[in-house]
Amino acid sequence: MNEFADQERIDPLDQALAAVAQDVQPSRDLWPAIAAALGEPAALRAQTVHHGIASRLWLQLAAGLLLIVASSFTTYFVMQRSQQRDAMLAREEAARQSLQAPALPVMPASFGGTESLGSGYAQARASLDAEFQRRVAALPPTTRTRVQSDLAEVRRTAADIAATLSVHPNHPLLQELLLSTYQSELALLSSVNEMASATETRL
Amino acid sequence: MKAESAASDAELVVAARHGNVAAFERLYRAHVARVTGLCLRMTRRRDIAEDCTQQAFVRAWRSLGAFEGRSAFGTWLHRIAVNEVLTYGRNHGTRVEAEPLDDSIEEPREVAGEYGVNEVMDVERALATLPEGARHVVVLQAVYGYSHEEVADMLGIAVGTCKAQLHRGRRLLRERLGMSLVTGVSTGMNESAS
Amino acid sequence: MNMSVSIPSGVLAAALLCCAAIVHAGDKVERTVAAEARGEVAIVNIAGEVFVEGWDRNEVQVSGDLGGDARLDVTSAGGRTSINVINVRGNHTHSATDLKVRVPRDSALSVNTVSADQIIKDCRGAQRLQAVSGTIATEQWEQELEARTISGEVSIRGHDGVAQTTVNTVSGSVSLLGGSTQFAVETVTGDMRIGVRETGRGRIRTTNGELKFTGKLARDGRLEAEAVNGDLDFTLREPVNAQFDVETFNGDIVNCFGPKPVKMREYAPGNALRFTQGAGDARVRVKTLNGGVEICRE
Repeated sequence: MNEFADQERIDPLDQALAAVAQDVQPSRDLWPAIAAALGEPAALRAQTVHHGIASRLWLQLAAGLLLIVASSFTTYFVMQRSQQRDAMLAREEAARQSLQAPALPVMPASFGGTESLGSGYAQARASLDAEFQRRVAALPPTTRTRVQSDLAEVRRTAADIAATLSVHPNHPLLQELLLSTYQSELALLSSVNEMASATETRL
Repeated sequence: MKAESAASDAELVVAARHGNVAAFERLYRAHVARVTGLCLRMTRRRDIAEDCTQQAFVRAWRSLGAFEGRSAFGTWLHRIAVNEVLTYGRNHGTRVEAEPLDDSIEEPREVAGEYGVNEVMDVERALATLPEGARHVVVLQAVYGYSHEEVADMLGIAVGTCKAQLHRGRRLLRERLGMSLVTGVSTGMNESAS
Repeated sequence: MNMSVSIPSGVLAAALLCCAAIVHAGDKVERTVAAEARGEVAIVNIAGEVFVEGWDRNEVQVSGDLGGDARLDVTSAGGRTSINVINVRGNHTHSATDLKVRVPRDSALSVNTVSADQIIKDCRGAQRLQAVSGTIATEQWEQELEARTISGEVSIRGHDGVAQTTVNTVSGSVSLLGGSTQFAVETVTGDMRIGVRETGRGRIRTTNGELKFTGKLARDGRLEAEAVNGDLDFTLREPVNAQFDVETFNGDIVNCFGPKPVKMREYAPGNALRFTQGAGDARVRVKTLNGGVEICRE
């Protein structure tokens, strides 16, 4: 059955973009300046390394620093303003961290008080995450990396939506999709736990 | 030809890693146009693009020991170049006035004769008008062919954000090129997207 | 008691089995046990392949090659046959074991694998299939099917029937083609192709995956789809009689049925498209954050 064949419409915009020249010769030969710089001392090298670190800020953040946990709908939406402030603080904190392998910390990010987190949800989520950390270590390396990356992606997405919600409070669509993303996070944790458990004695 | 150039890049990288500057110069000659094009599309300014290109090659030389060969050398080099562009943007603010694209840009590739020179130039101009985030994603994904995951990794953003920026960029391009959303063909007038 | 079972090709031994039969690593294995026509069969394998085929005998036949550090454990009691490939040393490296299992066609089937791929043919009972990174390829008839993976692809070919199909992956792509009228498909980043004859109740959810849906809506059908960043494309077969409720925050909405989306709020992003096509019996609800939505006719 090839019922999808006629749906692969060729987009003229894609064609136009593909026609854009990829190669552009520089206006002058850059090599002499490059060659001169190749032998410069370690101080410059450190500077370029620092640029490398600075450029990874968002990746570090995406390693799980800003995770927003909502335990109940009503308390979450009351706390939007403090969430925005804490999101900014969290990003600045991420900028000060050194490079390390991505971890998956569970960070109740931003409501400014324990009263903003429903204990039931937070406990369930923490429990699932603790089990997940144990289970994921037993997965094949490629799958483990992929799962961790996907979980980080879901958490980043939740953070993005929450940040957007802080700018557009009480937006029903944002609220709905944020809750849906939280559910996806829990479903991901549960899936890994359950599947690893089903084959655990044989791993 | 691709397999041959990859093989020759690999040999040059090995030699350069051992301090062979001549080998590194050959790598420079082979890749400078592509890197400059990438930087130019992202920064919109030739002087900035050439600075970033120059810095990228210097960093590449210093990081050769870290290049493991898991990706093509060109891909690795592009990552470094993107990093330079982003660093420049952070250090100098993101509002960079664009220069008009000049005549030294190479002729566009042949695409089955469907687009004339004027149409491609319209696309280039439209690309340069995109907001920075969308422009970066569209350039890397649609012009240079990187996947969502690769683009997100290069730019240090979430894959979801990357997709969102691509959407935004494509929508703005269609508006500015006067393309219909349904068929993507030019309508001869600007239509608002929706 | 250790048993090494080897049956010459062409000879099938049918036996009532009350205790575990253990086959050791490195063996070619072939074993047949009696089974109920509508019993249960549960298979666990870590790496390699699991090929399951329905047949018209009231027997479960297991054949294949065991990996170097594996043993095979087959038990059958009370209408349930369990086939387990067990790692002998308990370490994390597993050589592949390829199993071919024939089961009574109407058996309820459960297969759990880690990196082993699952290929299921002509099994018409309920199926519960789980793979961490292995792929799942199966067919569905009139009984319910649940397929879950982390990163493995899921491919389901449905035949006529009204059974529930549930698919859940994290990054694995999903292909669901054929007769299923009640389905729930959820991915985090996996892309989805869904092509069904008629949708009674369909639910699709993804964070960043892309969807291509083709199908007809049943008279009172309900189709819900939600994406954060993925694009959702719907190609609907005529006749289309539905109420549409489409909303995106940043995405485009393309509607081939005519009505255009409107901006929801003056000072905030958001487009909505709400209209009725034909008699409006069915309901289609689509929500995205940044994903584009396209709704067209076939």
